[in-house]
Amino acid sequence: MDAGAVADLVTRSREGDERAWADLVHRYLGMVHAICRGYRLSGADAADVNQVVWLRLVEHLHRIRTPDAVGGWIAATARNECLRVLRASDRSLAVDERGGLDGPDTGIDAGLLVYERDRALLGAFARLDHRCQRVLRLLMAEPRPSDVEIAAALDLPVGAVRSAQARCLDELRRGLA
Amino acid sequence: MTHTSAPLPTDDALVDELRRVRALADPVPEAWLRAALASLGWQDIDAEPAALAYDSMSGRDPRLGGGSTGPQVVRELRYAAGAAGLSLEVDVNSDRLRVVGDISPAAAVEVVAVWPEGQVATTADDRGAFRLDDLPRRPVCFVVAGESPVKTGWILS
Repeated sequence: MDAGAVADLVTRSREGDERAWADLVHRYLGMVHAICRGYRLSGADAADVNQVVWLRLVEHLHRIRTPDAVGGWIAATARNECLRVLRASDRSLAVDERGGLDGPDTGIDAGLLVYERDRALLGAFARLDHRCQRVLRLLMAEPRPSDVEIAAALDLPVGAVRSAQARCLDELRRGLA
Repeated sequence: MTHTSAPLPTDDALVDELRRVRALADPVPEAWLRAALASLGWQDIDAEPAALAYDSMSGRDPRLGGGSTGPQVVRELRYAAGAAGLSLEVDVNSDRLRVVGDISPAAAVEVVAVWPEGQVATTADDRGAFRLDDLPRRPVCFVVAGESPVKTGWILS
């Protein structure tokens, strides 16, 4: 979906077009999920962030000056709300300083995976540091967010997105070898 | 193990694998989709949006409230809409919220707390003070009635 199509969905949603809103939701729901999971939020915390992101977007629809950039706005809003939830529950230090060798806590249920290869991949993913997990989570979102949206979600310059992805995929590959 | 002797996957192949595993083992919950779709219905709260002027939780040093059992956070929020102001102290206690508010200029008007599944109303006293003791810990928005109604943005505490 190109930027013009996204802008059109924003314009039509603003007028109350439910079909356009549904398309906008389907375009970005996976990204919001990836961001929440990248910050290790689950259950009610993650569901509340999801809910507030969409409620905010509805109230924001009339004020958006660059409708084609709505994805970046959604990504930044989701990230900020995740960070605030973590701060409020005093978990932010745990997230950034622990370094991330707590394998099972990826939000992915290994019990649902049948193949050994998939389990190995999940194991290698779980051994990555949290930052790389956040980077790769965004690559795993369906549909895949744009580099600009990923940059907003990670609070990185757009030019740094591809190198961060390459580095994290390298680490994952080493973990699989 | 056989896969160690296979050629290392390219970036694209690895991303494809990750995407497949994520879709299998960590799908987006259906309830998230329903919540997102239903959000459009909240476009019609008929009140002027007040601007957030201050949020004690937006900085890096949130004020931690007292209390010796578990984390408890009092969040201060201030909103402005023209000459009207609304300040809120949101006290989070596990899954409930207690809110103490002040309306300026002072007026004994109705204040409605709205969340996606319901709402509750109270009336400010003649000094503009109000209190809501038992709100669910959900995204919540406050609407101050009066000649020109004012609403806050959605707050997640």
